[in-house]
Order: sequence, then C-alpha cells, then structure tokens
Amino acid sequence: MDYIQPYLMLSSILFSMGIYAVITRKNAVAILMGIELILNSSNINFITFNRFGNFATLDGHVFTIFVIVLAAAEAAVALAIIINLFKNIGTVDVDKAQDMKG
Amino acid sequence: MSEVLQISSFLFLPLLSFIILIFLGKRFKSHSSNLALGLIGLMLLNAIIIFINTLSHPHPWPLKQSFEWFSSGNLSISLGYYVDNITAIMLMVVSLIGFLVHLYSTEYMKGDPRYSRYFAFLGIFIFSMNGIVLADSLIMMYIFWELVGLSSFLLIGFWFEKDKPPLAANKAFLTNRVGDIGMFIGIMILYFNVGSFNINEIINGVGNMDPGLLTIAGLLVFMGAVGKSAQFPLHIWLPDAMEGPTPVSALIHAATMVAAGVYMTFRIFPFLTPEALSIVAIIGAITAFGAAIIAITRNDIKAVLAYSTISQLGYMIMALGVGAHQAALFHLVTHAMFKACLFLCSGSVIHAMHHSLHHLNDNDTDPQDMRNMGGLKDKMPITHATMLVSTLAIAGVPFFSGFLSKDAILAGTLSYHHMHHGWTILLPLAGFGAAMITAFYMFRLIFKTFYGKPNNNDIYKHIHESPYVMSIPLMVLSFLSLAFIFTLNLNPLHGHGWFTHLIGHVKHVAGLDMHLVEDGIHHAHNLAMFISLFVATLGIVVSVLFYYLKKVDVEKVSKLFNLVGLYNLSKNKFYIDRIYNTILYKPFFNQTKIASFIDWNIYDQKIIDAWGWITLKISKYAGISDYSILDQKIIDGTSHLTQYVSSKLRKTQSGVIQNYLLGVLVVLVVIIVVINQI
Repeated sequence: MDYIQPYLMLSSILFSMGIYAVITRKNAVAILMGIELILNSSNINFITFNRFGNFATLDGHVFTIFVIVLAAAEAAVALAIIINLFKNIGTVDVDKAQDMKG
Repeated sequence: MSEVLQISSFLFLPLLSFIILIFLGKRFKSHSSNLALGLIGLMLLNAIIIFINTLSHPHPWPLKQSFEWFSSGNLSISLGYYVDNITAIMLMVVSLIGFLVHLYSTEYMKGDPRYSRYFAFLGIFIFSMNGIVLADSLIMMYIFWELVGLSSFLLIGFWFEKDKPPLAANKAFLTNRVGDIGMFIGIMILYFNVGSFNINEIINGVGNMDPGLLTIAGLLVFMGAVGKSAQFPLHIWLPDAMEGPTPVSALIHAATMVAAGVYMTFRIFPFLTPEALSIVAIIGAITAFGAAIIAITRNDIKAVLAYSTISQLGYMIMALGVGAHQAALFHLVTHAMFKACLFLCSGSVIHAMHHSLHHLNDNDTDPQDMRNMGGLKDKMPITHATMLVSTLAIAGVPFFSGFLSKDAILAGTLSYHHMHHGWTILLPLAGFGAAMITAFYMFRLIFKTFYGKPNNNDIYKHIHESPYVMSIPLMVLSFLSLAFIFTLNLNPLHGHGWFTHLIGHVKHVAGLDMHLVEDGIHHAHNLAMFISLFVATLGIVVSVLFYYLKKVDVEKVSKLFNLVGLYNLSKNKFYIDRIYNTILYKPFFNQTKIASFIDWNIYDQKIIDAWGWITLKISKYAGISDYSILDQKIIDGTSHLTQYVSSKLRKTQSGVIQNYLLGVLVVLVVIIVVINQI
C-alpha cells in the first residue's frame, strides 16, 4: 500500500459526508456528528501527509492527537449548547432557532 | 453782568411762561393766565425801566454784547444783543401790547378748553419777537424770524378742530417761507462778501461790495420782510390769518410780528442801495393802495382791519423806500397802538355778538359780519369811544397819532418825487389815495357797526358791553393813540417831538445822501400836511354821506364803479388769490398729477410690477424643476434604489446558519477553481 490516493479519497469522502451532514441535517446532534466527521477527515489528511511526506518528525501525529482532544472538548461544549437550546425552545431542530433572522 | 441779565430777561421771562404752561398748564387751569400775566408784567416793568433809562442818555450806549455760539472751521456764529434807542422803543411796544393782550385774553379766551396752551403760545411768541428786536446779527434775527413764524402758525391754527384755521395757518407758514428763502440767500451773500453776520459790521463792511450785488443782496433780505410784513405779492396770508383768536390778531398780525418786517428793513436800511430802495418803495406803494381798495368792500369786520393792516404796513415799507426811515418807525409805533386797539375793539364787538348769538342758540349767523351789527353805540359805549379814537388816528385826523406819522411818510414821498421826478409821482399819488380810502373804509366800519338802526333786533337785545378786563386795554391803547403823547406839544400840526428825537438819525452807507433826503422831507412837510388833511376830510365826508346820512345810494355808486370793473376788482381782491391759483397752484397740481401718473401708472404698475411678474414666472419654473426633477427624481430616486436593493438583499439573511455555510462552501469552491485557473 504505497499509494497516497486511497487515503486522500477516504479523507475527501469523509469530509464531503461531514459537510453534507452539517448542511442538510436539521437535528443539531446530527450536525455535531457531521463536524466530527470533518475533523476526522482532516486527521486522516494529517497522518497521510506525515506518512508520505519526507518528514523526519512526527508533527502530523501530534496535530492529530491535539485535534482529537479539541474535538472532545468541542463536543462537550456543543452538547451543552444543544441541551440549552432544547431547554429554551423545546426542540433541537436548528430551523426553529430563528431569532437572529433579519 | 446785571446788564446781560436785564436784557436777557426779555427772552427768558416769556420763555419761562411758555415752558411752565406747556408742560404744567393743565394743573394751573384758569390760573395759567395769572402766571403768564405776572411774568409778562415783570417784563413790561423791565421794558419801562430800560425805556426811561434811554430817555436820560445813559452811558455806555448802545448796549451790546456778543457770545460765540459755535464755530466750525472758519465759520463762527455768535449770538448777541444790540440795544439802542430803536430797540428800546420796540421792546416797549412789544411788552406793552403783549401785556395788554394777555390781560384782554384772560376774559376773551375764558372757557376755552385749551386756555393754558393759548397763553403758552403767546409766551413763545413774545420770546421770539423779543429775540428779533434784540438780535445783533442777521443770523440770530433769522432764527427768531422763523420762531415768530412758528408761533404765528400755532396761534392762527389754535382752533384746529374747525375747518378754516389749519388751512390759514398752513397758508401763512408757506407764504412766509417763500420770503424767508430769499432772506436767507441774501444773508448768505452778505456773509460771503463781508464775512460777518453782525448787522453793524455788515454796515461798516459793505463799502467794498459790488453795488449791483449789494442791491440784489439787499432786495433778497428784504424779501423776508415782504413775506413777514404781508407786502404785495406775498400779502395773501394775512387776511386768512384772521382765523386765529382776535387778541392774537391784535398782537401778532397787527402790532408786532408783521411790523418785524419793517423793523428788519429799518435795520438793513443803511446798506440798501438807492436802486433797491426804489423797488422797496414801489412794493410799499402798491401794497398800501391795493390793500386799501380791497378793504372797501369787505363785510367781515376783521377782514377790513386785516387789509387795513396790510395797507398801513405798505405805508411803512414805502417810507423806508423813499428814505423816510424816521417816519417809518414812527408809523410802526403809532400804528401798533391804534391798530392793536382797533383789533381789540373788534374783538370786544365779536365777543359781545358771540355771546348774544350763544344766548339765541344761533350757530349759523356770522358774529364777525358787519351786516348783522349796527347801532351798537349805545350798548357798548366804551368800545365805541375807544374804537372811534383809534379810527380817527388811522384816518389821519389832527390831534391823533396817525396824522403825524402818516403825514411824515407822505412828506417823504413828495420829497422823493421832488428829487427824482418822472414815474415817482405815483408814490405820493398812491399814498394820498390810500389815505383817503383809509379814512373812507374805516368810517364805513364805524358807521356800519355802531351807528344806524340795528340790523338784527334779536341779536341787538342781548349785546352787552365787555367787562373791564377787556375794556381797560382798549382805553390804554386809545389813550396812546393821541398825538400829544408822541410830541408833548399841544400844537396838533407839529410832528417833531421827543419821539422823533428818540428815533434819531441813521447814517446811510450805500449811496443815499441822508441830509438831502431829510431836507427834502422838511420842505415837503407843509404841502403834505395840507393835502393829507384834505384827503382825510374828503374820505370821511364821503363815508358820512354814504353810510351815516345815507344821502347816496351805495348800490348805485358801486354799480357805477363797476362799469369800469373797479367794484368787482375790489370785491375779488384783485383776483390775486385766483391768479395764484391759476398760475401757481393749478400748474403745480397738474405737474404733480403727471408725475404721479408716471410714477404710479407707468413706472410702478408697468416696470416694477413687470419685474415682479417675470420673477414670479421664473420662480415657478425653477420650482417645478427643483421639486419635480431634482427632488422627486434624483434625490428620491437614490433612496428608492437603496430601498429596492436592500429589500432584495434582505432575503439572503435567512437566519439559517446552514444556508450561510452553504454559501461559504460554494464561494470556497469557486475561489479554489479560480485560483487553479490562474
């Protein structure tokens, strides 16, 4: 497996799926899941370029670990926001959260 | 200093009377006359003191004092007084008649709503008249000249709520203005040639002046006298001035103010050239004769006296013109006495008539019309006696003052003719003619008023003699109309006495030989006396035949005279008012009408209004372009565009974050594609 393409394609597919989820999903939790997919697709990219690039270091791996940690923290914050959203308007449907509409 | 105080009291006493009464008169009410009487009485006392001093040849004499009033560059104007024998005489005349008229007015004006204001006006008149008399310079004289004009205006128009008095006041003021313009120009010519306004300095300085210019300057200054002394052709204001209260007519329009013109001409007499004097004499002669003719046909008692005043003033001016300056001043003083008396007598009659008419509740009958009088002799004995005395004086009957002074004037005219021959025969003819007519119309007045049967018995029944306050001035003035007073000599035909001595002689500096003139007058004296005696008798006899014995039908005689147009000429005052109307007022009014037409109908209506019309149209289109195009389309268009665009753009802000995200994504893709293409 010395080709880079399958990794990048996997990453692209994950990214596209994440974007699609973020854009189309009405459920806030599903959107959060889409964001996780985007983050993971970027993780794969980090790892892939670290593996195939001429790097003597492990920078890509370190970044990935940071991203996973940040994703956990981000998930915690996002879930707290979603709970508050549910408490305030009784649903997690993002279309109903229209108070900022001009 | 006391001398200055004594002289200036002639100014400030009447001025004080004016100031107090004009501001506080309402509080004094009927006591205002007492205050005025007191102040003028003090002034009379002062005048008597000065007059007596004058008789005893005081030292220094004449009194003079001058103070600089203001100076501007080279021009320096000073005010001052000059008191010589003439001034003393005039001060005496003004103070005495002023006082008597004040006394008389307390009764005559009783009950008038503006009682205190009347006395205030009398005060300012006496103030300004004394100013003229005392003035040592022509410019000061001119200032007070205008002031007497003002006070005359105020007093003629005193009953301003009636119709005629305001018109008469305006006429008097405007007519005088014509003369005063000339006087002012004359004063200025003298100032620029001699360099002084002071009369004595002018007399000393005119020697270097061009005689032609001096003649013109003298005549211009004399124009002031023509206006003020009501000489032809500016005499028209004086008969109208009779609209004022009768005591005012006595004081201002008979005795003092109108004589101011004669006084002024007397002062400037030394530098009037013989040419100027001949014109002065002609004007005097025309006035004396013409006014006497007009007086014959007047029916208003005051109008007769007014024309008689004009005629007598003409005598004085004629006397100055022929060089008989002594006679002029003599006649001024005697005339002041007997004419004031005549006017006050007529006032007494009018007063009685007025009361009688008031009693009858008759407001239509004219109390001044002689046709409503007649037979008043028994009802008003004092008025009748005093009026008879003053009539004898004015008619030139011996033993009365008018005889002496008029005789002196006529002698002057005869001597003038004797020296110059030719046309100058007209001067004595006019003089003697006027003397005869004067005697005639004055006795006509007496007969129509006091003799015969009463023309209206109702009025006659309620006529009463005036109270003593009114009759005492009459008695004093008629006493002063006696010749004896002025000569202290029982010979009635001898005119030279203390008074002519007091007037003294004048040195003439502009080419008239006074010695020759005085000699001539002296020689002509006897002839003049005989002729004047004859004409006066003739006039009186004719008058007696016409109006007392009624032997001659007056109607027939007037028709006879009218065959040559004489009666109508007199009746219509020589048509002078009508001539002025035709040649002066009407063309002037027509011109003003044309000017008004050009100004209003053409200039204003067409040109000015056209500008307005054009501006209106332009602004209308400017308004349209401003509002409809600029405002509505461009300004509002910008905002409409903004509104439209923003309404479209607003829709993109949906509030759905996913939409925004989609947008970001699309743009990102586009950017990447674009970057890759480059």
